[in-house]
Amino acid sequence: MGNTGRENINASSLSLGQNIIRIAKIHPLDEAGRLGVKDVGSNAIVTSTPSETAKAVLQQLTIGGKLKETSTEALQYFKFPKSSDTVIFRPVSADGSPAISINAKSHFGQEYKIHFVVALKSSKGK
Amino acid sequence: MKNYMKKAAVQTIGQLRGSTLEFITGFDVRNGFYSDLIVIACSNDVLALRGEILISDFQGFDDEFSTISVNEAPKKTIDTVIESEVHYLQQKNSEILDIQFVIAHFTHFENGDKTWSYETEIGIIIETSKGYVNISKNSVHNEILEVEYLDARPSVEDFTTSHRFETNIFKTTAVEYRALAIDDFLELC
Repeated sequence: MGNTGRENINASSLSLGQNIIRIAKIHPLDEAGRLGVKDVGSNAIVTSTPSETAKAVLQQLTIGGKLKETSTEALQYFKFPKSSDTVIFRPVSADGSPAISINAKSHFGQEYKIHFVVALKSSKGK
Repeated sequence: MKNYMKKAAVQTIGQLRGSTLEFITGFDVRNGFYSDLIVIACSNDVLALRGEILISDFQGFDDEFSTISVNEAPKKTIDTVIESEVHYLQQKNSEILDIQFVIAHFTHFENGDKTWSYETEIGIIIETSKGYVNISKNSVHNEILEVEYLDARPSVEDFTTSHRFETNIFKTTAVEYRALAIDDFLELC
């Protein structure tokens, strides 16, 4: 059995980079080493249940991170200790879909956003 | 695309010059001084700097871009922060001598051709009689502001505000930084 449950993981020792690598077993990385597939202006994970999938990925992605309170309900902000790595979840992002912004300075210095969508923007109109 | 703070907000920040710094706090800053709401308490005023987001499609698709408002957060929220959050007292009782704004100018190229540019403030340098206070955007795409206290004047290259503008073998984004005095920044806003 794979180690997929949050309860099986020593949360305090995990970094954002380790979380990304673990999630990649379910949602493969693109050629740039980022979660999801390349879409217009960001990455995307295609799913029939965007909100639920986004929350499931968020839960796995933020193990070891700390939820920081903010003055707005527009986002959830997670900060990883001992690094500048952050994760931001927006239930409703710029294009209306749920999105996760990953700022993994300790993991190849990558900052990118993943939209959770029913269909890729790049496939529309084809 | 230019995305600056409102002129009135810059003027309000400028009015802190000559006042005495009492404390700085923010929303949930007990375990690190970063938050979407930073409150600066001085002898002549209390300012609430709030990171906010606007949506723009200048790249050809909608994306979030951070901006900073001043005193636009609900008063109840500001009062709660002041009453319940930890007060950072570094440089307490120091005089605010000067304030500068750090501007980042991004230029995007595709196949060597310029396709768009984006300019925004990424930080505020407050010079006090005891040192410097830096308030910077965590990213040009989110609401989080970071605060740090310094003994020496920071260089514009010290600002670590990140971005997610696309870069690959065909697309590059160049960044230039500069620090502006308040009067110079007001001419841009």
